[in-house]
Amino acid sequence: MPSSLTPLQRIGHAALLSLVLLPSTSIAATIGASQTVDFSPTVVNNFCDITTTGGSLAVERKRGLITSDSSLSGTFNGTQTLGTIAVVSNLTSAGTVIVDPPKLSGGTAATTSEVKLGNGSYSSTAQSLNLGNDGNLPSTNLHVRFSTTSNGNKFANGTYNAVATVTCTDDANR
Amino acid sequence: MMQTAKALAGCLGAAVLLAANHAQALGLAPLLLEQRRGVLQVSNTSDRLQRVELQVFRVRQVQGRSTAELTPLPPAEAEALIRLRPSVFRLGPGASRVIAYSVAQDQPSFYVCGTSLQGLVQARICSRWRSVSASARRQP
Repeated sequence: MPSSLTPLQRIGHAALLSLVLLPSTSIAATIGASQTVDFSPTVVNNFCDITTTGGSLAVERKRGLITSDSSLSGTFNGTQTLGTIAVVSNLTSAGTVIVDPPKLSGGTAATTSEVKLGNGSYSSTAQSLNLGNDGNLPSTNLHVRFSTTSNGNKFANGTYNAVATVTCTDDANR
Repeated sequence: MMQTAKALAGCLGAAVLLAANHAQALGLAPLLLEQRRGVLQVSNTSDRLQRVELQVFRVRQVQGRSTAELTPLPPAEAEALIRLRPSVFRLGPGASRVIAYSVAQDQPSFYVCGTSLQGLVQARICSRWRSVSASARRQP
């Protein structure tokens, strides 16, 4: 401030200066301290869920065939019921589902072990299923059938169990 | 007497059929192990109790795609690759469990799979560990 000002002028300048500064200090007091809004973290992961319904097996009366497929011709003992598989995932095109040929356990070994998916045909080799663009596989029917050339082409008396392995993986193309 | 036996057999048959048709669901995340140490989350989204086993498998190719071998590695060999505690447990309806893992250094690629036997189907959801050399080959 220039020293040539009279005391009265100095008081006038000081009053003017405080009027200029006053609004800004009062605005700062109105805003107050800053606040944050916190969110709990999330974890991003690729995942896969397999849903299945189990089937049941029946044996042909001549005992040469064990199957879950009720559409096969012949007379069967037991109840044939198909299995189903469905997949929900967040996988992209790299995700895949592999269905391996079934394994039969029981008294007589199976000579052929085959699996059928949906409306496809029976196969004795592993099958790969592509997931949809949404990463899902809709419910798909799964049938198994077994035949034998052992024991006079007949499965011996006893209890037989079958298992088909369904595998979901990511990174399948690498 | 004969009618009672038939009725009983019918009930048993219906029970077996009902059990066979009941849905079971198994989930696993993540599907890629990107760190030597971490956690796997295994979930049962069905309304039935499930016995779940975490098993280790070598990598094989099916129709040009990588997946897990059918036979798991023996426990001692699996333990040398990855440490999982616990590796066998039961999951109640709607339950999930977090399992800590640690991969030994300089291991080849392998899969660790959550497996559950569900009637005619053995469900496996597999998470892959990629060896350092395999990962390096993918770099441009």
